[in-house]
Amino acid sequence: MNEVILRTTARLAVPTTVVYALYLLLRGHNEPGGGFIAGLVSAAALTLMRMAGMGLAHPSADRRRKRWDFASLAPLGLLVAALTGIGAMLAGRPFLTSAVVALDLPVLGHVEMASAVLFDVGVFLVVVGTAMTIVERIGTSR
Amino acid sequence: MRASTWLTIILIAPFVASALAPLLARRVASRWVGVASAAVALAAALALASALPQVAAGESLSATWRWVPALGVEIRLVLDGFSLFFALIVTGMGTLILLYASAYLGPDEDHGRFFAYMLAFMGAMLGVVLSSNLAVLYVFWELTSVTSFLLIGYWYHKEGSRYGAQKALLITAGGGLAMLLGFVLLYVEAGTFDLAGLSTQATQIRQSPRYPLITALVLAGAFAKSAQVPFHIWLPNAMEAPTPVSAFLHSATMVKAGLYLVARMVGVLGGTELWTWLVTGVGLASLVWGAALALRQTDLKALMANSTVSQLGLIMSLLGIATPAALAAAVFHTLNHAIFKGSLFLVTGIVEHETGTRDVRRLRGLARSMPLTAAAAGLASLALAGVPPLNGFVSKEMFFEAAWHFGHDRAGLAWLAPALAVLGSSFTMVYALLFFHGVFLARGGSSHDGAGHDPGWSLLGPPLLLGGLALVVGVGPQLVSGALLTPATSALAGAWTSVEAGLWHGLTPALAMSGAALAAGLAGYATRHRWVAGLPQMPPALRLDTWYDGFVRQLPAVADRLTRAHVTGRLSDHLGSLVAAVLLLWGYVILRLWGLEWRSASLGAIEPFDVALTGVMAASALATLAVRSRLGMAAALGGVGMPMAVLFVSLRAPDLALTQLIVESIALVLFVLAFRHLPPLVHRPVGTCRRAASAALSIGFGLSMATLTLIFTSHRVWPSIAPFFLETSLPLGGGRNVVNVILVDFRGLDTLGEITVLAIAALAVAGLMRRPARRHGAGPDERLAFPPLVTEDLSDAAPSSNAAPSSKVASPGGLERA
Repeated sequence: MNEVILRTTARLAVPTTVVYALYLLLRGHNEPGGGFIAGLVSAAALTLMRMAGMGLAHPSADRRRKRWDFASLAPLGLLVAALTGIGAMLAGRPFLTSAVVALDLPVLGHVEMASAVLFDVGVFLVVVGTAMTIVERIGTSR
Repeated sequence: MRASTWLTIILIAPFVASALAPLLARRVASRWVGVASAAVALAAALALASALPQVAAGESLSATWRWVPALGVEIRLVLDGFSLFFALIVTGMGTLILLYASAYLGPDEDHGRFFAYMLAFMGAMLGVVLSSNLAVLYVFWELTSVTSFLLIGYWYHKEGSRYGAQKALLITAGGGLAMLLGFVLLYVEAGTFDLAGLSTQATQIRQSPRYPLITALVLAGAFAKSAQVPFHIWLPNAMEAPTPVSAFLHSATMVKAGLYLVARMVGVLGGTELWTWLVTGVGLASLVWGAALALRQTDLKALMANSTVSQLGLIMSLLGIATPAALAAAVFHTLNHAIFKGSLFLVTGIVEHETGTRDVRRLRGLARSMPLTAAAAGLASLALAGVPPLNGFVSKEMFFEAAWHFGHDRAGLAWLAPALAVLGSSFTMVYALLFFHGVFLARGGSSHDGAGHDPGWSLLGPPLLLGGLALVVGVGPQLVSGALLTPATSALAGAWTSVEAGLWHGLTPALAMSGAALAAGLAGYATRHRWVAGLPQMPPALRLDTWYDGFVRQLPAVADRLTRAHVTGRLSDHLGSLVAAVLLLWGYVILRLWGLEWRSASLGAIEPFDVALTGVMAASALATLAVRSRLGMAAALGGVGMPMAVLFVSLRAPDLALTQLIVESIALVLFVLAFRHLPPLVHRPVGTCRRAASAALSIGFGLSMATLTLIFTSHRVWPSIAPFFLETSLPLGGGRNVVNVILVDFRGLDTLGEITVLAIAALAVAGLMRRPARRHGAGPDERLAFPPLVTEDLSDAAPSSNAAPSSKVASPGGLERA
């Protein structure tokens, strides 16, 4: 594999893929997509980044900073999902009850958001964390 | 502020503080973490104390948060007299002990971790005493088990700590599981998890045929938690924890959770012969046995642990008797025990801190070198022995009175109760003197005679304060009887019960029993060298410790043998056993369902396109068998997965197709990454028998899967739920993508469970597969996950001309900095 080609491609592909993943995540409630898929797409993008040796996912990137560890992303996502569920209880509804909020945002216009989307963000984080942990650990010699 | 919000904040505050403690330790000085934690506990204590007037007037405050209404599970926090009483003990003792711990732990210890555990425990314990819903109470109950495990194992580098932590967790959580079963049976019986609701149906519960089983299960959990005979064996090993933990969890609060539950259950399961004899019997057995064990200890903390078993037994026996007077005695002694035993543990911690030993045989005459510590020790140990005018005497009098009435009213075997009460109390007197006289007053004959000196106020303040409290409560029990004991007892007795506690009740049988116990204790202490060694001992074969150790040793060995039988190191063997097991199950299901009529009409039409795709998949699957290289096999597997994604598209399932597509790609990357670590592929010849077996298994598996799918899709037992989802996805879930709305809303709990499994898998991978060694500069020998290919070129040869430094290609990964 010629590295120049890989890196040049990755530079184009990675941002595109990440944006696409976020798009999948946010539209997932109404169109095909959602947390699981968006998480996997992001993981694919991050894997590509690492293969090309770029950015935050590379183990030998800036050594002065503590290395970003994806293993902590999974529990974080779990926390987000659980807190979404607890949020419903604070509103006096049973655990994990979804609520729909209609917002008029600049640029985007009229948006209807279900609180379940937040739950989906939790799913997204767990999937990214898990997939990347496995990729990193298996891809590293012991 | 509404009472419910206020109550919830009190419960959540310790958990929030627990999460912040490590941050505080890292960002600010770790010295202040303990003090800050004590401040949180104090704030909670004061907030709770502000409710005293209301609760003393007979009111109770409550907060309700809906959780799983369908299962009768809701977070209902109720602050009545008994909850408040316990919550005040938890937060009050917590304040003093956390303050003490900040000085007790050396500056090099990990304060953040320690106080995070301590605060989390405090929150969990508050949860136990505030939850009115048994399902929620159980969650908090096990949280206390887990935090106890973490705290006992705080010095995890010590073998003893790890052993003690594991033992405590296995026994208390095992009991907890039994208790959960009991709760579920109660729910089946009464249709509610709520304590108030259960109390109203108490008569019905007591008459049900399941009553003995329910009682046994619930009590098993409580006895395990409160270290009652025969489950007491974990408590001495729990003493491996830092002393403040022993004082807080394993004497003042957590071990009393069992008592708390039994006390709450008096109104639901109590009042029967079974209850009375079981609870009183176990309590008295623990009282005498724990005290006898304490006599033989040479380690101060082991002595205190066995003493705790004994004192908890005393309270337990009172809960078995369960008359209003007995309940009042139990409540009062719970408070007194927290005060004097907490103080004794803290004194023990000081002694160890100052002299470096806890051995009773070596410590002598400490009163000369540390008079203030000795004063605290004296007050607390005499309170423990039940010497007037200290608090222990007052509640022990009430205990004797209840035991005497129990014997007097029931006659016969029940006379054992007062007899054992006196025997246990005289033992108590002996070891209390052993602690106080032997360690602080007696002189000579030891290198540690008069060692050490009084510590600073943060260590000395809490035990002295508690010792002072023991005296104040003893002299003026009316200080606590009106505001604390009466509401607490009334909450248990189900009717307003005014508690009259006093130093002097006149010449009663109880006074005679007290006198006899103290006199016997004095005589026994003077002559202890002649008889203590001769006390009966359990033969090793009957000791529960022996059983426990045998079990813990045998269990992994058995698991090992079982695992070796089917995980032989060959993947095909392992998979084969799995597939065979599933095949047996499915074969049974298919045989059972065989008679169902087939309705091919309900199956979808088959398009030529689908047939072609399936053909490609089958061919690729066969190709994996023919290909000779790993990469080829991975590619052939991709030939199964990718058409599958296309098939999903053709079946109009875009979400599935997308997921399948990306899983397939990532799986391929993972394969390639893993191949780098594997030895070259060797094709061993496979015997005919093995071939035939594998073929039979895989063909059988495929056939049964296909058959089952056909059966399930062509035959509907219940109407499909699909229309419901299609209709309600937008109005109820606020989304048009039904698949996703099902995932995150309709079946959100399932998804939460799934991502929990995922997260655990991630943590397991992270734990099992070590990260690359972090060294400076990525040397060519450090095999990175994605080694820049240049590294390999540079490693054995001089840089070639086309990799000139002037080239615009930034060399990846630290090569330039190497």
